[in-house]
Amino acid sequence: MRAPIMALVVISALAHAAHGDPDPRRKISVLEYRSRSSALPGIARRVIEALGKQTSLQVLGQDQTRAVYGDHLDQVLAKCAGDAACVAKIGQKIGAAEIILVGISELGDVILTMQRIDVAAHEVSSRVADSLAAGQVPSETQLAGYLTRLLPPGDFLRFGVIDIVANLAGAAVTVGSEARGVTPIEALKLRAPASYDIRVDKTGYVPFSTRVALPPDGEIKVFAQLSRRGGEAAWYQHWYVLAAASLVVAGAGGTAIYFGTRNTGGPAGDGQLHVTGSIQ
Amino acid sequence: MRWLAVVVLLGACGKHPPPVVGGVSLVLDIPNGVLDPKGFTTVEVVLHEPSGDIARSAKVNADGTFDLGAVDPSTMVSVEATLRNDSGAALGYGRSSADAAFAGGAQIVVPVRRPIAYFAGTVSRDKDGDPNTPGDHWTEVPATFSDLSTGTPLDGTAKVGTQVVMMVTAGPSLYMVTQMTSDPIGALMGTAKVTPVSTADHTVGAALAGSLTGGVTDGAGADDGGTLVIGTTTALFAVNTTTGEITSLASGNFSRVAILTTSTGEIDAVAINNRGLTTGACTPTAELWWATLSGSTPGAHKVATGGFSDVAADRGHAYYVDACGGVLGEVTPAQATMLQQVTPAGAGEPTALAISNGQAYIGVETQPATTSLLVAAIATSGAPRTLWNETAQQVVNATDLPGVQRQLNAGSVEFAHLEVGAGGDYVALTTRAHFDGAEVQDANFPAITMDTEELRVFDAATGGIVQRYRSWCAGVVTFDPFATQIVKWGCASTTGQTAPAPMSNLDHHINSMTFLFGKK
Repeated sequence: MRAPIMALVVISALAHAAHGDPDPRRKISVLEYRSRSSALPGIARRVIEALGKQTSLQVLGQDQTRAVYGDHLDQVLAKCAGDAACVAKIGQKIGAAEIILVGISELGDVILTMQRIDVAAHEVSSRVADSLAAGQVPSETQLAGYLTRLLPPGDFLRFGVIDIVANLAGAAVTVGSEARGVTPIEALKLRAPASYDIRVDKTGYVPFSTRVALPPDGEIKVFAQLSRRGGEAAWYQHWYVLAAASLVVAGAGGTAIYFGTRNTGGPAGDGQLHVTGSIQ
Repeated sequence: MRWLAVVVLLGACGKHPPPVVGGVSLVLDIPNGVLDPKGFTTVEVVLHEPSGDIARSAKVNADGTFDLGAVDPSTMVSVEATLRNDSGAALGYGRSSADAAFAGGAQIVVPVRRPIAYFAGTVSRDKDGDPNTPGDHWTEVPATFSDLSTGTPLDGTAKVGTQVVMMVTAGPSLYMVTQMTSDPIGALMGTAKVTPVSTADHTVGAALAGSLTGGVTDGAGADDGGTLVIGTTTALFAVNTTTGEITSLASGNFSRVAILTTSTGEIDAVAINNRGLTTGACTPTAELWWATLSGSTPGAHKVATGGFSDVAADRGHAYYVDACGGVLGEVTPAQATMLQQVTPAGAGEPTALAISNGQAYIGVETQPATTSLLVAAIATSGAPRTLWNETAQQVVNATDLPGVQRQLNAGSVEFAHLEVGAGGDYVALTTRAHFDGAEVQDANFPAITMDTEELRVFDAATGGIVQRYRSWCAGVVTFDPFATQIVKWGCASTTGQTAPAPMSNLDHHINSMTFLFGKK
């Protein structure tokens, strides 16, 4: 049974004025520097994992940095002893925009520091530190909190791209509840991860609608095939068929609703097949 | 006539809606048991056609129906389906076992299962109950599993079967292999039996009639669930799960196998005989074998000799990695052909391979003790990207001295298993590491030798670790000349890492690891 946290003291959290929004996909290196402490094993790896989940930054771990910089990375890092200008030179050599230096030391409690070092400026742009009781490790929530204080808010905004291509021009595109213009339309950069309802609609055609799950940094191409209403439409798209279905629904329950609520089906026109399915 | 059509269709509605006339009906066949996928809200379908892939997604209605819209017809298509929740997590996955015509009136059935990974291995118990005397007694135990759709941390308490030394999946079907163990090192002995296990509720069925000889090492199954290929230390076997017949294809020490279904529906397999150790100098004496499992006369033949370290199959093609050459290649019944250089000379050896939908996941071992997971597209020659890279370390705690810890750096680490699950959503791998910690007199640390086995499951899109489970951590104090040093040590777990739950589960080896619908 681990002891409860004895003290949780934020020693410092330097908020720096932003020098403009840095590239949210810039390369950074996360390095670990220990000052005679073996506490918090794997803390740098956890920082890397958290950054991978929460940001689009290109993150190099210590091993990857070593592979580029050379096997003497740890010696140089030890000689730097946390000095920002010295650590920044490592960043320069590996082509990183920033280095996050994760420091672990012990003064009774375990002191965890994270410095965000601007490689070009050779200075610390922000820093957070925390004091943890011996044996305690920061939770995922705590770690996320450190990073949100350490990095600019823009780093946590993640996007994906949805490219909507329709088989005809002039169709109105709605993503979520927001009108996005008419086809042909530029690829849309949207917040991710998120799910979006997409509707492509044109008078005289059966609307196309779908829902897509957009992953961070992902690109989803949506092919919207609109088929013309009228003589080539499926039989149940005609008003009198829908009315008939509604009449039957009253006595047929849920199964009938499956047919009555579908907006497309059967031959979709243009030689395409309509695909429906069920989970059984 | 239209009125009549409405009445007839509605009257025909039962549990299973009939195929739409002129359209295509896709039936996602779940096992109808406690292990049914649950909590999903959307279905994502990928149609693999000769001209390329078509992806569609749709909301799943409360009655389990969905509408994917219009798609061009095709004479030949294979189907992958993934059930997801609102967060995008895969809660069910399946794929068709053979190509089908995508034509009006067609009904295509795709079995779908939860993304469950199964592990099996052996455990050792102290032979006489006295830890101060040498000797272990090895025994077989139930397999364990990780249901990635529930996210429950793996701790060895989720069990299936009894006395299992290997689990093999064949598409939606699951089989366990049982075999005796022997002391003092836990070597498998005697005949091995194959037994089906229900993927609806994990009920164990009756063992197949046939049996295998030699210690089982690796297995794979075809997506139709009807054929397995299993390697042992003495032979390569084909298993017909329908008839129960087990056929020896070739003699040898077959330690890596993969199975494929060709575009003509023929089921073949590739295997590695005489695979060398990967932790030392590369040995170019491994043999790459091709086996034909379909037809009345299954057989196998050697294709090439080299530094082959693993095989995989994807979309009717078979692939290999060569640890000595650092290459990824394709193997056919006639030859092995290099596709791309994975690692330059001296930059590590590719020793594990799994491929899904054209994406190759390659495990690279770099001496002394770093493992990396690379991702490369089969169709292009672009540089692989690194999904994960880690130097093996293990922290041990001094049992009687709280707070005293020692961090050991591994002397060697190797991949044991690598497999892709849920069509590429998950990648799982296991590693074995060996640690030699020298005596540190100033700290009263004795010399320690230790071995660990660990599983990692990654989210393939982000590289984030979904599960990290250390199944095995065992060590001995090898040098304590003055009997004054700290001799009682226990393995520490890092944050996010789980281990067998205390009291109810023993540390165990991971002799096998496989997903339902896994790809390797």
